[in-house]
Amino acid sequence: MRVIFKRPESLSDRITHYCPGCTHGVIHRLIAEVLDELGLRERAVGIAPVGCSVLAFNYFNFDFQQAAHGRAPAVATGIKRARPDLIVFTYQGDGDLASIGMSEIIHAANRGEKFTVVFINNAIYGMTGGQMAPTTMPGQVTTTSPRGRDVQDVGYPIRMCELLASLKTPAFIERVAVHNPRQVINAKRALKEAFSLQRDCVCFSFVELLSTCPTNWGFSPYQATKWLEENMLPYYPVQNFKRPEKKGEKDAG
Amino acid sequence: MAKVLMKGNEAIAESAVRAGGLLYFGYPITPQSEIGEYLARRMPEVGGCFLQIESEVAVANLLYGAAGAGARVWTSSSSPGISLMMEGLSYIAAAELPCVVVNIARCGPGLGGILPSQGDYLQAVKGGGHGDYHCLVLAPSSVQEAVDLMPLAFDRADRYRNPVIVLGDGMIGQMMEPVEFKEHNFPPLPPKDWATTGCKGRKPNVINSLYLDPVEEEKLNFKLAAKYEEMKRKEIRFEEMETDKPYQVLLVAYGTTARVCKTAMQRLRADGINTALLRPITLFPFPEDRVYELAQRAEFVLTVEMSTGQMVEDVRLAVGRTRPVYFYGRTGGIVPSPEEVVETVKNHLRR
Amino acid sequence: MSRISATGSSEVTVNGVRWINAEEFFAGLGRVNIFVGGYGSGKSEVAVNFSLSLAARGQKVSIADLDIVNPYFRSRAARAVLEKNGVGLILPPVEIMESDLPLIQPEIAGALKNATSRLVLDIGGDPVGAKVLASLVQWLPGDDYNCFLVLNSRRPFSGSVLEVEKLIAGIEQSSGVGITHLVINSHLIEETERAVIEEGIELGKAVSKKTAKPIGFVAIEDRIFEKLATVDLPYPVLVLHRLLLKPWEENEKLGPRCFKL
Repeated sequence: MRVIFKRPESLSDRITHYCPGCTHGVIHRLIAEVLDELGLRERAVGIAPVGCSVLAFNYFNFDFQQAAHGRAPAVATGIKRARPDLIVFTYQGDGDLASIGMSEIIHAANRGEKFTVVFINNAIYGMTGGQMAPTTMPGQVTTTSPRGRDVQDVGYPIRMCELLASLKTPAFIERVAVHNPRQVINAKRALKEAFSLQRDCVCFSFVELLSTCPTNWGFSPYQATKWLEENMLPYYPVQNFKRPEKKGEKDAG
Repeated sequence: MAKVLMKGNEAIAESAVRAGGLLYFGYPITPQSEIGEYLARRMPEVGGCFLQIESEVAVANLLYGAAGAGARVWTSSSSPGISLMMEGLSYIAAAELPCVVVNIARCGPGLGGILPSQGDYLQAVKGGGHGDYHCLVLAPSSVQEAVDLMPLAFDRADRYRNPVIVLGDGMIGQMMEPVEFKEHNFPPLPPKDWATTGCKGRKPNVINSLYLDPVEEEKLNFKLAAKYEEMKRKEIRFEEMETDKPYQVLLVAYGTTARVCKTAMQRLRADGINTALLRPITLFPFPEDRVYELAQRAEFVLTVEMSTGQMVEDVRLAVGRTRPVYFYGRTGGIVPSPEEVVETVKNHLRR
Repeated sequence: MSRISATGSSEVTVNGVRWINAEEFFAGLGRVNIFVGGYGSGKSEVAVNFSLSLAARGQKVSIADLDIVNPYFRSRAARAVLEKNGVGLILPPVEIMESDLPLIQPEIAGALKNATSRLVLDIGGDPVGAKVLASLVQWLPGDDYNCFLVLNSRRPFSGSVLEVEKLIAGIEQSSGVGITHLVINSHLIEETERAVIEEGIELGKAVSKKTAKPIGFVAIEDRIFEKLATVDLPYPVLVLHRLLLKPWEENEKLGPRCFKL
């Protein structure tokens, strides 16, 4: 019998705590597949954030550190500066990265720390029960914006890729989505590019994944994918923002 | 090696380098910026890493990451910066990671000033951040002692898998004294088989402080408590002066104020008043038994600090109601003078 | 500019500060005297002693503390002694004196131009501290000044000819002022031995040979000087009396003092 589908070695044999329709599971699997395919599992160290993925270390089958809220880029910098040979990535949500951890992500990116950031943007705080995030859409109802996000009062959602792309140092920045198979395949391609760049010690790499949170959005999983498509995609364009020039490319051009 | 004249800050940096503290992350703050400046020059010579980080909040979390990956890592700061590190230190203590944090304390609270203070004692010895933990706290009283305590700090951090604070003050950091760098030999350390160094040939390691099961969290707390008890049995360090002769007054002081007390003791002796000094070198664990024993031979105990009374709380806990415990302190960056100590002793004796 | 040489053997005592072989040295002194050097080389202590010496010789003199890099043990800590002995002070306002702000007093330009008074400039350490001179160099009085490099061979990054050359180049580059003389101030405070002083003089000679900058004078702390059996140096000697003390140290001549202002 030929095996055509199996659990990647980089995933552990455990059932996750994620809700039905949550995209964390998909993204975990993509990271695991990429690390397997690149043969990096035995050198990998993940950083779990504070957020729904706080227990991510249970679901991956390699070394992990759990970080304080927002500090994952600082923890990753510490690891990478101590052991540049390790393959280090942070796995952070929008509250973790774009709110409490804004300083850490900006400065790690600006120093060009050679680790990978996997940024999960689902426009809401999941873990604490659906409060407004810095990425919450205008008018979006959350438990702390019960009349919808009022941009006159709390400003517009932060676009992290665009913000980081304004810096000169960080060289790989891409936004992808995971709400349909085609986007998932594209997301995997971006993650693989990011980890390959880290493996080759090229640059800081940042992949934002537009994700769904059916539970806190109050939709069915299918409705949630539609909501993402209709509301998030226009504001958060799926595209590559920066990619390092390949060696010789500049000369050739 | 020939003796050299060094500032406390420079000497601490050099001693750390020689003790293998080759990974340093920090943020500038007076009166300890010379540590970073010295290392920015020195680390490239020895293949180490000096990195200026965006904030002390981030610094403490870099320590967590690097220590978790098995590195000998350290930082330094001064009071307001140390406050910002308390988040990370709590996580480091909970995850049982080794690191060394040097606090060249300045006066406060708030932004305070740049002059020396011992107002960070309680923060250093009682935990400082959230949750039930302690750091091992070492308090040098001279530049040479700061040099000698750095290797010990790194060794004990690794041995106990616990953060170690070296608590100086602006005077210790800024003054110059002749120093020599000696070889220090410690017993071999256990391998860091818990570190996140890549899982080749073993099960994955996880550095973590999240315990959602109350039974597991309590287990961690009791495990940490047992470690602090072990420190109390094995790590208490102090210096005694003139305790081998009869004395009327026991002085208790650490760091800079102990130096002031030593000068005051000479003057008091010239005036026919015999005093003894107990100078704690470890502030946590605190030499409480010895303070009690020595207090019994005195009429009273006088604690001298650059604060409004912090270590005196531990002295009172140790002495109980067996002897009066008096306090003399100056703050705001003012160092108590030897005359002030002499006068205070005399005033209490006259009562 | 080698107007300073020492051949005499007179000894002058002022304020506990003594000079040996210094008559010609003082005769040839420029109006503005700048003290630069490596970080922690003893510039402030030498500059304060130097100012007191000038005042004691009946000269009108001011000292400016331009140390923007060192937060403690700056010449401003000796304010009371200087004031008592008639040395004019150009210092930051009292209420922000004990800060780590870079403070340059506006009076400094006037003092540099004032031909009726001598001026001593205590500059912060290393090229970074000497940078402060760059903004003042335009007011320096032609060649009527001396710039002394204070040298302690027992300080880090100051122990070899190569290191000192690097230091000189760095200071001259960042300050825009040429160093005119070396001041040998090798010491380990109370642990100074003859060998340390001799080592400093040997280093000074070697640097002098390499850079063509003469040795201006040698500074030796009084407590150490008294222990030395003989001193026979072809240079002026400043028998230095420490004034920037630690809070627990006592100065017999000045009585007890402490680190508070």
